[in-house]
Amino acid sequence: MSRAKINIAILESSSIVFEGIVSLLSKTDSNYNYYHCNSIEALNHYCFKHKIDIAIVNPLLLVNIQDDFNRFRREHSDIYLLGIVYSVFDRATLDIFDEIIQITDKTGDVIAKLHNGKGSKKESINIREELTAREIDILVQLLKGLSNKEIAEELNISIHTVISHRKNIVEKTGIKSLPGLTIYAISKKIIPPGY
Amino acid sequence: MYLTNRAYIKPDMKMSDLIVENPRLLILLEHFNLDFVVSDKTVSLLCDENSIPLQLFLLFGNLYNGYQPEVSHIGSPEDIKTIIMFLRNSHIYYKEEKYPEILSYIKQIQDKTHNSEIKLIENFFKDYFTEVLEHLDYEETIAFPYIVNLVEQKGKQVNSDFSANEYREHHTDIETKLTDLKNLLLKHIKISNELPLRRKLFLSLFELGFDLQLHAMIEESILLPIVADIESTMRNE
Repeated sequence: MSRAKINIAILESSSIVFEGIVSLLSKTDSNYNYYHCNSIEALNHYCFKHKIDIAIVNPLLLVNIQDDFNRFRREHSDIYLLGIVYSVFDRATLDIFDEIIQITDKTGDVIAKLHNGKGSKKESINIREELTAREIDILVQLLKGLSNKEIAEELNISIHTVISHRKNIVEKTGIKSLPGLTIYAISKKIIPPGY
Repeated sequence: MYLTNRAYIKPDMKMSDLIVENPRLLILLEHFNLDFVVSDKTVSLLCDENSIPLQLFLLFGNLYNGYQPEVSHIGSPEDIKTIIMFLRNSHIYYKEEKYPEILSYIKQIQDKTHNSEIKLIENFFKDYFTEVLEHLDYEETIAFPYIVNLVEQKGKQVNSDFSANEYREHHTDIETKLTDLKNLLLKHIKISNELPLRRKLFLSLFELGFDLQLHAMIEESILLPIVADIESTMRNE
């Protein structure tokens, strides 16, 4: 169980299809959490709340809300997006997806398609937990009480870089709050006790 | 929907079988003011004898068994009063049982290991729990009275400082800090020895986290939508 759990959101109105996907994936050696969504709003909600890695979406539910979905795609560009298709769609609708699962696909193919995207991003982060020297710099500034903007000025980097480092710090340590990060930093001797 | 292999609780199932399958249901019973010596009673009979709305019990029970709440017909004044009783009882569980228990484990580890980082954990937990207490206090002094008023004086306007958004924000903060604490203990803080004590501390934190999470879910996904419904009915009247 060393591998991190992967969060999958499934936007699909049919419970049978949803349960089917879940039952199929439960038998693979990966660990998944499943979130069943009935609307794009619900999908969005889960993505913010649970850090969704993979979204499986029935394009049928995107009819008339293509704009909303394009916005969703832009806001969550790091999510691996699979279409679950069991009727005919034009190419443009399907192009937005990273991969398409046909309802007639064999079990092995579905799993393979899913694994393609389980992706480099998430798993490579989970392998190395130690912070880089730059991330430690950022952490120290953060614990001094500096804002993103102030840290960017102090270290001569862009505010986007600061935000991206902060995101990595949280992902690697599993700690979000400043008091929690303080204890982390003391225990790793990044800052002295009694800081 | 988060899936588990546990039973989906139905009215004609025997309560004792369900407890054996998922002992966490004991705390559910306690929050409903029920004893766990349930003989061979079915869920339906148990609710009937103790005047607990059956649909509500099923909804909460299934939450404890790992199923997301489904759209339901919960919302009668009786339901709402029972929900608030349930939530109040869970407050007592956090304050009078889990908090002293966790603190006592932390202190025992500190006494035995003299590890300086444990002192930091103690302070972190105390600060965290102060935040929890503020939220529980907000519920008891502002949210619950507001909701009870709303139910009892249907039709009249009720003035209050209650805000559904504020409610939700508290929940997110509380969840974040507890996750931090678990990750610190599980991944970062190195303490030699006292493994059994540390295991007890961790399990106790986990139990607190589990119940707080369901507590937040009951409030956000069940109670707040009912409140919003009543409010909108009132506005339309």
